[in-house]
Amino acid sequence: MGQFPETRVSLILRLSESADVEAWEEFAAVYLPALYRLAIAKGLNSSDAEDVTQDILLAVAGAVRRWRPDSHQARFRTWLCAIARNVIADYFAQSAVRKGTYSVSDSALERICCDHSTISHDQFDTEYYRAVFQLAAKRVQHRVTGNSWIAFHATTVDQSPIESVAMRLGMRPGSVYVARCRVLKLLREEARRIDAGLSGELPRIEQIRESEQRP
Amino acid sequence: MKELSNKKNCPDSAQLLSCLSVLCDECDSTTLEHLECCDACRETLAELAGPQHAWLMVLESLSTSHAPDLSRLSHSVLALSDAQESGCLATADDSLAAHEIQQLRALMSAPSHPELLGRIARYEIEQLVGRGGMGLVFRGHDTELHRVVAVKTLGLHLVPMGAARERFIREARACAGLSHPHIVPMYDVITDGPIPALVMQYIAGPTLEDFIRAHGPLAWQQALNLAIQLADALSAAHAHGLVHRDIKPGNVMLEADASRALLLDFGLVRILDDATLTRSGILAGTPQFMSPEQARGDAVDERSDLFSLGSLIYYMVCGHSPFRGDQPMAILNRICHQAHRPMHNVQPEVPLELSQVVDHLLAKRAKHRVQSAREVRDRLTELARSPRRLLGSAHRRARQRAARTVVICSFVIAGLVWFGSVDPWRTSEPNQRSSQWESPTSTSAAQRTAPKSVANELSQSLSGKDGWVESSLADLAVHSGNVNTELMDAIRSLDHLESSLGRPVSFSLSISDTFELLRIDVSDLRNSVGQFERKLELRESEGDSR
Repeated sequence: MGQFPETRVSLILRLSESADVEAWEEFAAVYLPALYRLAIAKGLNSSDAEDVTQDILLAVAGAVRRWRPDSHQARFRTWLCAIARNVIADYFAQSAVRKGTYSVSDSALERICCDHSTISHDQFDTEYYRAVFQLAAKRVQHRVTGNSWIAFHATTVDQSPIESVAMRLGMRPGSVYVARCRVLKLLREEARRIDAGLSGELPRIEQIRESEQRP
Repeated sequence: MKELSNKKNCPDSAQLLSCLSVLCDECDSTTLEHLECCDACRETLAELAGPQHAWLMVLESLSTSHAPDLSRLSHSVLALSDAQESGCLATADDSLAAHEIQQLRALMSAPSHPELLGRIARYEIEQLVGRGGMGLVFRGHDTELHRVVAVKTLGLHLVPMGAARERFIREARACAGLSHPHIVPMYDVITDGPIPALVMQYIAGPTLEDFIRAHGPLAWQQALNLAIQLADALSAAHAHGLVHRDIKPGNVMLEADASRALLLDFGLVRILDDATLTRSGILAGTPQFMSPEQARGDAVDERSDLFSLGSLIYYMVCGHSPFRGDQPMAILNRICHQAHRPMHNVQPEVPLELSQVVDHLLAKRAKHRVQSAREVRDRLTELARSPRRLLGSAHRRARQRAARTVVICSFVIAGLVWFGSVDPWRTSEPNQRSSQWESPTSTSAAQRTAPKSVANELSQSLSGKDGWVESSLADLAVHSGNVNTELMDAIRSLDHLESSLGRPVSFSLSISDTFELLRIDVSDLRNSVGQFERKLELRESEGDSR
């Protein structure tokens, strides 16, 4: 990023298109937490992780906000991952310089340098899908009726026994079974919708995970 | 066992699937009862909802702690990328800015991060985001309060010294004391380092100037809405004894959808005055939004801001300021002596009432203006509240009335202009004056020498409406060499007219597109005073007769 970016048509023009803002919000809602956690996983503290996340998104923001679902998304994700890698690498290089700790023999530094350059697409995808599901959960939670969400969360995430949850919620166990399955189905549908919106291709979410599950 | 025993009663997968449908409120109790005792059906149901790995993935995703709320980050990325892309940014070929930055960098403390430009006091300077009349504007980061700020540096030649410095600090303090939703908050003033600077809230939006340049004039309703906000801001500042002195579109920040405006740079012009006037005698920047008293260099008070506000409203609605010219001196002259063309003439859909408020604000003499920002705000608010239909019909009525107006009285302005005759304002009753229009004309020297270029240039530079070209004395003055002096005399005598009528008037000239007829509209704030038509005999210069 140069200090003096070229003058281009103002984005404000495009901001007035609400579709664009929506697309951006969806984009940010998924990629911000994904990148943030990626940075945390690389050993950054929370405020540095925020900075790095901001830098990454800023680096791609122009393209991101012009972005519309199309068939080139695989390349986009790869590209984003490459930028993330560079920004994080820069961060380590600069913080080393800043702290004056750089020396050739510094093995810790070497390790870090090697480590951060190995952000794999798998790592990135893992964080991506995690964020997709978390966003989906946030939305589905408000969409389902009655105690369905609690029933789902308690039995699936907290892994409480069905009977005790049913008793606590004053539901019959059969209803709890149905409720949790219903919520999961909704979650998958929502996640698929988000993923399709972000990648513009048929969702591969579970295919990828499937291959991960069967090493 | 169970599988066997229940096999017959097991619902088929279609039945189970219907349980999962959102449309089905509650499964029938037989199915629920069955699910409670049949493992196989429970498994089928779960499989129908999602395969095993989907359950695992949801479990894994939802049991991972959420990232902290990053929506703030999302907004800042949005804002920053906007700022990067908006046309108001300095460009790579802005070599002057590059040069200034180099100068500034030498004075800044070393940055803590190689990508930053440097550091001024506790502010990390990140990026150039604009250029103001007094120096460069940077996006910065407050290292103590951890917030994004705008750091406005003062050009090194503007560094206030001595008493001026005291005043700079005092005024900045007064501004910092202003808290108003439509005034950009001032956070800090830096005077003790090598680079004096003002630190204020960072607003990513465009300035009103940029916005109108990009989108053209605003709808009058939107302009009215912004005008109310700005009048409110002014009334708050005036109550603190602060006069803005430099209200112009470049000093109004807009939020992205242009529904909210924030006023920038309170009282800073005074600081600039101190520094620049003593040096060069000429203020940098455009004087288009100055008040007449400012243009003359007289003392200004709150009412000067109101004049500028009037110009600003005019600018929002018409897309240009009421007083235009190529040279600053021409603009200043018009501001002081020439009546503007009424707003509803430029934009016919503008309600007469709004146009009149602006006329009232643009009165040449402070005492003829609306007297307080609060009053302006109240009048505008009242306007905004009246139903649009009412405004529209009132407007139409007024126009019909104006159209029906026969010559009520007439001013021998043309006589003055083209015949160089006596001051007409001292002459007799309107009816008597009107007779002068019928009197046969004699051709004056000025008329004979009115250069050929008048007609040509006017027709090129002014757009015709219904066969009429709206013009003005000053347009004529600018375009016609020899007539110039007489025209300027005429303009000056408008002041006499105002005095004799005891109220401000505005008037506009129209010339038919064949350049054969001259029409003069004279109006005071409320009414059209008169409308005249006159046959013109604009002669081509040097014997080129028509």
